[in-house]
Order: sequence, then structure tokens, then C-alpha cells
Amino acid sequence: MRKMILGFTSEFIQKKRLLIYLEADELSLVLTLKGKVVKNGVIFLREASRELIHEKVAAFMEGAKPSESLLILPRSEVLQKELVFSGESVSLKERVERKLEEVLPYSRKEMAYGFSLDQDGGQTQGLLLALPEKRLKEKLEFLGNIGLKIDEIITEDQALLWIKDEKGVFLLMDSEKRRILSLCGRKDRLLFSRSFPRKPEDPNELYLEEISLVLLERGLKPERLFLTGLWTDETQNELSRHFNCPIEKVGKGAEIPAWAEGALSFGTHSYLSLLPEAEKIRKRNQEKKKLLLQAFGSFTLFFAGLVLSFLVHLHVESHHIKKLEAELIQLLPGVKAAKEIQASLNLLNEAQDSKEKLLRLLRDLALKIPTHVKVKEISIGPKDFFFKGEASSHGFISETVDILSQCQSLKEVKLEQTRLRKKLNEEYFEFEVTGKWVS
Amino acid sequence: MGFLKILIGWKTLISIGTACLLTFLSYALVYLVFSGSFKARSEELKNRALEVSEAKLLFSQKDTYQKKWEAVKPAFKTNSTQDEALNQWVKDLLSHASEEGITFSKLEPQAVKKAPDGRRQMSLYLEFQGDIRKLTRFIYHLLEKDPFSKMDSFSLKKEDSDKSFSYQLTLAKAL
Repeated sequence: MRKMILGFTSEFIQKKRLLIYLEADELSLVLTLKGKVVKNGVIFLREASRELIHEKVAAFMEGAKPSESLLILPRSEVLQKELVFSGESVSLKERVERKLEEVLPYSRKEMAYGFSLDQDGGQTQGLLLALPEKRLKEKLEFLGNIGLKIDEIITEDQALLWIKDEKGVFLLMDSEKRRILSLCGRKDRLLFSRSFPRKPEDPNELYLEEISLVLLERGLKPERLFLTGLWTDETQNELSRHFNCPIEKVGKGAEIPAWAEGALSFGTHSYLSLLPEAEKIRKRNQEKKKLLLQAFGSFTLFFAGLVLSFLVHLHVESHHIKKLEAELIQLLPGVKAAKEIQASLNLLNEAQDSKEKLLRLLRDLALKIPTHVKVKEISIGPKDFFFKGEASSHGFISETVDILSQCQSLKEVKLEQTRLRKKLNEEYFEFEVTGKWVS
Repeated sequence: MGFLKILIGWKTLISIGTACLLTFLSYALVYLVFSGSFKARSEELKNRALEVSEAKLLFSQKDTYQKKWEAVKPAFKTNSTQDEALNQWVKDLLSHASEEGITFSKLEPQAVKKAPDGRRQMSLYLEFQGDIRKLTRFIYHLLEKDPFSKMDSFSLKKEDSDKSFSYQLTLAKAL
């Protein structure tokens, strides 16, 4: 788990990368961190024992452990072929396989190769990069013996291609003390590249005719020319005259090799890997495993965080509840006594209110009911009210009902019945009113 | 986003994205399963907080209630038994009746009942005759001297032959 977390964090924080450029008699090393060159150096291999080289490599590394080592092969060591397939793309796989058998100098099993294919209209075009696997393994073994374990292999022309992000067709020429490399690219895609050795008899030879010939063969006309490495004003003028297009010098000159500058962008572009087939499969599986571990690690971390936040939330709530309960227990004796007193006072208020309301009703009846109305009966139950009376005219009855309706302790007051009666030859109305007693 | 892609690589981004998605789904699942208990706990917390605030309010009013209660406490005899309380109540009423010239034609203790608040309650049925003045004086007496007696029912009648009103009252009192 610790290893997994460390690996995961180093990916985010360190991203240390070692760039290795191996020639017959020189080993160039460039250590990068977060896409910037930290250190670069050259170790001469001629007449040096492996132990000595190993020591020099260790001294260069100073204990640094890069997360990835990238081997950049010189262009001159790699076979490059253009792949062109016209017509339908059906059975393309078989046609590609046939083509590979055709163009590769040895059988496919004996070659380390990579190819890209792009559909352009009715044509499928691509580029094949290859070198004998035996030779590559010798290099890898040599590097392994001097303490350098390789994770990925690309060619220097691919690295150079990434120096400039150009959309149209462009030509890039890199000049070094031993060779001139020219490559043609378009939109992040390598169209071709050629490496020419410096002639001791004519070190200023630019191979312009050869380059123009390849351009002509491919029907390409560069819109811009980029120069990296060591160029004099004189040669720049010559190039300008020859190609008749804008020239721009890019890169940091002799400070950092151009291939290293381009390889700083490794991982952000698609590329052709020259790892042996078995290594490619192993690497793919390793990457899958790494991704799964990362996904699982992230999931575990996130989920643990969420569960933790849940638990903290629950704990805080439980703590709050307990605190409130403790507070309640502390208040309980006083509250209980207060509640008892409150209940007794409520009882008292209710009792007094029942009598006061009756008194108010009697006062209202005595003051407001017309004198021509005789009260015969008043009944008040827990909820009901009944009034019976006698009146000489119906007007007094209505007045009485109105007065009763206005009493605060009565509601839903209504005249239930009115009867005409006779007493001593005198007629009068006997009436009954009901209502609800508001307790 | 571009910067992130350069810094940690798109594959790592995909794996982190997948992990986030999985986490979100698991979170949703966990929440779905336990949301009931979370809500119940929040509800409990809310209720407890309400109880405490009510208790605090009541506690803050305790002294006021206490003062009011001390003023009326003598009228509320809690130490006596049911019979003693009833006898004392009847005695007090009869004593007042004789002072005021009221003759109870009926004075009947009723069965002890349970009031809505759970307390036991004794009742007395009274019948007497007299003018309205006698009634109001009787009620004022109850207000002043017998504050815990409650007017459960009241009836007033007058027949043509009668010179005064006939009153029927039921008084109730908590024990």
C-alpha cells in the first residue's frame, strides 16, 4: 500500500525522467523534472570499462531515481519506410502485414518496429520505424549493465518533431558536430526524416539536393524551416535561398541537445515505440495494472474520506445529542417543579375562569336583556347553553338572541323555537335559544 | 485541463476520474441505504434541542410561577385525604350558606372522577333558591375563598308560581 501511495504521489509531485541518447562512442544523459532539464552530461564510452561507465552513470545520477527512463535512438540506427495503401481499407491488416514482411530486412519476429497509419481520403499513409531486435537487445543489455533500465524507446526524429507545434508542412534541420538531421512534419505527424553524416573533407555540406529530392518525391513543399543546433549565419542564408521559405531558429543551441528539448514533451504526443514486442506487451500489462491500482487507490482514499466524514458527522451529532441530554437532565428537577406549579396554576385559572364567565354572562343578561323579557330558565353544561324566556313581542326575542350572540362565552347562538301562549287572556311568546358554551 | 494532462498524464486522469465516479456511486448507495437513520438522527437532534429550549424557558419562569403559587397555595389542600377534603369543602360551603341565609335543598357529593389532565376530581351537586343577588354573592364567595372549585354545570329556573329563582350547580375540585 505504501509503495502504491508513494508511486501515486511521485507521479503527481516528482515526475522525474531520464533521457538517454546512445551512440557508438558516447552516452548522453539528461535528467528532467516536471518537464524541465535539471542536469545533462555526456559519458565517453571509447576504451572505458563497463565498471567505469557504471560508476560515471551513478555519479551523474547522484542517487536520483527517475520514474521513467526514455531511450532516444539516433536516426541513423533506425530503418524508416513510408507505407502507402490505396483503395478500400478492408483487409488492411493483412495488407499491412504483407507490406511489413516485404520492407523489413529480417522477419518480423527478429525486428523491433513501430508504425503509424493515417487515413487521408481514399489513401492510407503511414511510417514504419524499425531496427533489428538483436541489436536493440544488445543496447538494452549494455544499458542494463551500467545501471540504466529502459521504460520506453523512441527515435530522435520523433523527439525533434515535438520541439515546434506547427500545423502546416514544415522542415526541421538539426545540426550537430557529426551529422545533419532533416525531418519533415505536419500537424504532429512525422512525414520523413534523413540523417546525413558530416564529411570530414567537407564539414559544411548541407545535403540540400538530397533533401530537396526527397521532398520532390513526396510532393511536399515546406511552409516553414526550423533550425536547431549549431548553425552559422552563412549556412542560414544558404538555406533561406535554397528553400525560399521563412526560417526560424528554435531551441537553446549548444546548451541542451535538441532531441532532449523535444523529448521534454514526451507523453503529451502520440509516438512510435521501438520497444521489443515482448516488452511492449509487458509494459501494456504493467500500465493496466498501474491504472487499476491507481483507480483502486484513489477510490479507497476518496471512499475512506467520505466514510470518515460520515462518521465525524455522526459523532458530532451524537455528541451534540448527549450534550443536550445532559443539559436536560440538569434542568429536569427545576423543570419538573415548574411544570407541576404551572399545571396547578392552570387548574386554578381554569376554575376561576369558569366562575368569572358565569358572572359576566349574568351581568350582561341583567344589563342588556329588555325588561319585557322574562327569564324562565338558563342551563350551562360543560359545552352547551340553553335559554328559555317569555316576551310580549317577537322584537324582544330577536333583541335577546342578538344580545346572547354578542356574549364572549357563547357561540353558535340560535333561536330554537317560539311558541305563542296565552295567560289570563293575554298572549305572549315563549321562546328557547341554544348555543355552545366556550369553556 | 491541458496543464493537468501534461502534469499527470491522461491515463492517470482517467483512472482518477473513474475512481471519483465510483466513489460518487458508492456514496450515493451508502446514502440511499443509511439516509433513513441519518434523517432520524437529525430529527432526534432537532427534538432534543427543542425540548432543551422549552425546558430553559420554563426554568426561567419558575420563580414567577413560584410567587404566584405561594399566594394561592393555602387554598389548595394537598395533604388531606379525599374524605377529609370533601368534609372540609362541605363545611365551608354550609358555613357560608348559613351566613348568607342560603338553604341548600340539595347538597350531594358525586362520584370521584378523573379529569382530562389525569388528576382525580371530587364534585358536589347543589340546589338552592333565592334572588340573583344571593347567587352572585355565592359565586363571589367561591372566587375569593374557594378558588380551586370549578363551575362544572349551572342551571337557573323560575316557575310562574315561584317568587325566586331555583339554582342547580355542580362544583368540581381537583384533589
